[in-house]
Amino acid sequence: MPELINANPTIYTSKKSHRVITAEEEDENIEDKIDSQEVFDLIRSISDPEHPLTLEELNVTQLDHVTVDDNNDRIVIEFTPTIPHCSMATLIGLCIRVRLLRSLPERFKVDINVRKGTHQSEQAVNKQLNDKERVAAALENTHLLEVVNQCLTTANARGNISRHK
Amino acid sequence: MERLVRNYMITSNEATEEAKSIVYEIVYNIKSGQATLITLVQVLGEFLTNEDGTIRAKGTGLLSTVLADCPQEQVNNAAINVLVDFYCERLSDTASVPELLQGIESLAHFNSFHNENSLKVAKSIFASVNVQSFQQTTRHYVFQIFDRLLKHHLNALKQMRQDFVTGFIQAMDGEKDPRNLLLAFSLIKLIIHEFDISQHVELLFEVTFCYFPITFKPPPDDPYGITADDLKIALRECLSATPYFAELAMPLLLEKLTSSSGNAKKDSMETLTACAPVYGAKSIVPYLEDLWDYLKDEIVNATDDSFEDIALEAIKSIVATLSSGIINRMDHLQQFLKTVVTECMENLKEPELKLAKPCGKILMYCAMASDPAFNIVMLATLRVLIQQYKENELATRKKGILEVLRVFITASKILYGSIENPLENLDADFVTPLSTFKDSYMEIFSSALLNQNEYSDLRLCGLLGLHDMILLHQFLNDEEIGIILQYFNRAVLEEIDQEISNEALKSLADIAKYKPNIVLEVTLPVFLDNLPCDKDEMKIDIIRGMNVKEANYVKILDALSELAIEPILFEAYVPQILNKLDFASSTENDLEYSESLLKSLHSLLLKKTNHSDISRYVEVIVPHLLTKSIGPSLYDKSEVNNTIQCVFFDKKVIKIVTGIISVITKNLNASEQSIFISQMFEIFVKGNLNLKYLGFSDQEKASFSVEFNPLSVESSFHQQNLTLLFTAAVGSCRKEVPYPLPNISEFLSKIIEISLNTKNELQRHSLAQLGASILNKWNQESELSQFIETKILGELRNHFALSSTGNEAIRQTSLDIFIWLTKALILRAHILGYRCIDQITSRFNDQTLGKRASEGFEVLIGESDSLNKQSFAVIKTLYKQRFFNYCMPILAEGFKLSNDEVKHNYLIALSHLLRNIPKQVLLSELPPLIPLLIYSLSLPDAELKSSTIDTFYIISANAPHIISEHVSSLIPLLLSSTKVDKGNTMRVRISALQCLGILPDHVPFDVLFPFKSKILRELSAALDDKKRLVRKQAVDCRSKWFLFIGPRTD
Repeated sequence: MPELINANPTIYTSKKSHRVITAEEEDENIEDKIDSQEVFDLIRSISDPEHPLTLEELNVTQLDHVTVDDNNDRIVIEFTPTIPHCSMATLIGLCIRVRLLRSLPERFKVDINVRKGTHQSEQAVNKQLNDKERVAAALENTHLLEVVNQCLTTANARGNISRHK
Repeated sequence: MERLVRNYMITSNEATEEAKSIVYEIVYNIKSGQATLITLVQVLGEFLTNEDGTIRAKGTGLLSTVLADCPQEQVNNAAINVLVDFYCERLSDTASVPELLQGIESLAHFNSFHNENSLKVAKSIFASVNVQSFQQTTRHYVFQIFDRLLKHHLNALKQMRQDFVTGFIQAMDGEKDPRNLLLAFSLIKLIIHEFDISQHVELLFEVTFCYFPITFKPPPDDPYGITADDLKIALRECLSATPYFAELAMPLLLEKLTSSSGNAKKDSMETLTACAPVYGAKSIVPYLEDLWDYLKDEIVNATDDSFEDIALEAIKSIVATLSSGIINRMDHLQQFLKTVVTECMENLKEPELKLAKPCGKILMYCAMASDPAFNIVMLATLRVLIQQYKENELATRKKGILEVLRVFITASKILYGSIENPLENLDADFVTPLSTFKDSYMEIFSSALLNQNEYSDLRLCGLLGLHDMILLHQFLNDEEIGIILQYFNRAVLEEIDQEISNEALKSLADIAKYKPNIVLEVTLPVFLDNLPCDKDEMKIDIIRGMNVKEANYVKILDALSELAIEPILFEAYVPQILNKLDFASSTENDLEYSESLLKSLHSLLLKKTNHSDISRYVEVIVPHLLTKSIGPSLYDKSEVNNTIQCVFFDKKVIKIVTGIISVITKNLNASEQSIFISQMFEIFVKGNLNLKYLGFSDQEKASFSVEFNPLSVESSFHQQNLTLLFTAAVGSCRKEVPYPLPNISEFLSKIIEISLNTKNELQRHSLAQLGASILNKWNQESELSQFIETKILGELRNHFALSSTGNEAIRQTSLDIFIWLTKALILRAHILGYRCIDQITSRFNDQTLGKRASEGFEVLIGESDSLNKQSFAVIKTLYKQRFFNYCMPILAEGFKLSNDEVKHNYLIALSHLLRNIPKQVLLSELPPLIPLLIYSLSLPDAELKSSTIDTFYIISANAPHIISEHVSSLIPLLLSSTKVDKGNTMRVRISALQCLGILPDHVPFDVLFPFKSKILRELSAALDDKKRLVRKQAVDCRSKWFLFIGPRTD
């Protein structure tokens, strides 16, 4: 087994912020705005490339670090790498990017950034993640795409991953 | 005979019909005594000695085939000796070996086949047959023969000693066929157990271990039904059959443990688990260090939960093996556990990190392995962990430690037994050593739960630990359990954190199963006392403000309906609840409170499915509720308005009471039911309120101003509503229970009459169900048929069949009743029921009744809550299938012939039909219906559309090949159903997305791939649907399609 970048990360029990279906949501005539919980639900259960754990369990993504403005079509996401020199940061960001490209209406402009002060090469990572062409180029790489797809297979769980005791 | 044999010999091969019929005739002749086996052998003589090998083989084949079907008595002791000798001597004739072995296999099944014969057979096969040079079927005969010999003539074979062992090894050496191997493995295991193998350990090991690890994959159509697991387990049983293998196997198993193949690793670990106890401590000690390293790595870096579990089991097996040695071997146990504990404790210094959990598990599995192991691990860790817990402030860290502490409770449960799962033959003084730490455990886990400012996961862990401790065998005494239950009571009643309060209730409910006495004493009174039962308490609740009223009694009643299930608890609960109900309904006239009390009672009764105590409550609960319900309906309207007791006028309340009466009635035996319903007839049909059963006081009776006549059209609505109670009782009776009626026909006619004329919908519906129940259970065939002919197909039908009557209301009502009665007949598959169906389907084209008639299919075939197995309805097996087979052609034909406005009535009926028939029927009858279903998707009827899409969903999952043929028409229709449009309710849009999403799971890639980009493109609109639930489905569906990339090419 290759050496892991961070072999023994801290595990956080996810604060169970689960959406309960409301009467409004079941009412045909009411419009449900896209909000931060909905966007967080999309990315919380993406798998970490190194561990069989979700980004939420590793505290890489948090509900508080997702900002959504449905009326102005803007979304800002901040994520926190597990350690400041984590070389997986770009890959994690890319997974989030691809997940949102596939799951959100095209009208949104989405910024994905490393949370301030949590990574050595913050700016480089941010630049890579928010440049359309670079993202597209990265996804041309079939091996990389495969890794991303692999991380995304758990994404639909939306926080409901059942780890056995 | 001679003619037959000659004819056989000139057939082209033995598989032809002709050959088979000749064999059949010969066997028949022998069975009937016209010929004997001897004659057959004599006639065959010249062929058996023929110079041509194929002729000899064919002759032998005929004899062998006949032997297989030959009756026992044809082959006596003398004959068997001759035949066995004959067969064995000829085994050197290679050309005939397959046929000879076939014959020997048959011979071995004769009762006269004795030990001498078996020796002869074994020796001859070893001497003359080079087993592995023959094809599979022939080899299979060999293994079958040995299987038979070893199981029936073992002692004889044992005389052969080494010769048998070597002979068998030679026979199986090189075997590759899974069917033969499965048999051979089981024989090897038997040989290891029964023969002295000490001289041939190495050889025997070689011919078995060479198959390890099993890499067999069954061919796609799986013709033999043998799985890789079957082979793995059979081989594992060989390898773990003798300690002789230890020395040879251990290094090899260790090597495979480090293999890069997951399969080999898994198999090695599982084999190790099985072998360790057999091989013994001595054999594994030299490898302990390596084993620990590999297994630890599997657990700590597990990427797959199943690997982790297997590795943990292996560790447990190793520890158990080390424990079972003699005293001085305990050193190895001590030493091994020391290594394990030291490494684990190192990782537990920071218990919030990822590695803590697997390390906790390792400690648990070690402790679970044996009593000495438990003691060693416990003593080496607990003091430190407890100290660590007390000194730490960080909540996540405390929780990590508490989790590990809890691990010992779990281990203790498994090793020393628990109340829920008591170990058999448990030694009375085999008590968990955890008792030493009982006080610390109580203190730590209690304080974790009770500290309300703490991190809720820590509190939860405390709660779960306390719950497990209660269940531990001989750990806590009743008093200590009582204290914990008080904590749980408080958590349920006062806790703000929902999760903790729910978990506490779950624990209480669980403990109530095992310790009902303590719950009766400590918990039940507290909960019952907290239910308001006089004006002051009610007021106090309201003054306390907020939603106290709601929060309190609703929560308490919900809790009680989880708790009071055990008979002694229920017994204490019932009088109190009835008491509170009196208060709530009469003094307070509080509808919501009354409703909650009744609901709690009802849900408890439903949970008591296995309890026999229900039946006695027919004397307690039922009369109480009847009196309560009937009383208020006996006053004039003017009186009622300004006085009391309107709670029981409420329809919701009446419906719950109905449910209660129904569940109690169902739990009575036939004679109890019989007594009960004669009282019900007395009350509801005759209006007799003087029965002692009811318990109205004379004073009350004097104050009543109206008669009780609930079935009458003239009575007040409130009285009429009480029909439901009557229906519940009568409709829940066993079919052998007689009604106290002189004439069933008359009573049924009366019921139909009332339901046609009443203006009370509730009563009408209830009477229709009552009629249906009586009709369904009616066991006098001729009277039943006559009734159907004249009353149902006659009078009742006339009300709706003729559109000229002009009274549409009567037409509709009569059709509704007709549908219910038809259902009763369909359930019992009564022949006249089908004529009734004709009447219903013939209304589909009716302008006013068409829709109602087609919707009626839901009643006809759907599950009903009144006419079902629980209410003892007569239900013929396969009635749904019969119904389906009868209706399908009518619907398909009707659809074709009818004009567009009414076409969709046929589709509605069809959709009800498809939704309710068993899946196997659906899938086999489906193909001709697909065009109809696809047509339904183009109609704007939302209900129809969503149910059709659901049908397609079922088809996709279970019969994708049917979908494959229609994808090009189906997919565009599904896509358009995802768009916001007329008829596309959110339910339709969601169903369509679900259906599109399931396709990639089942339909082949090459069929779907052409649609992939179109689907992804068109679904992007659904990502912006105004409903969140639709968006969620759209995301899931799209993500399925993005990840749908077909088989990997590498």
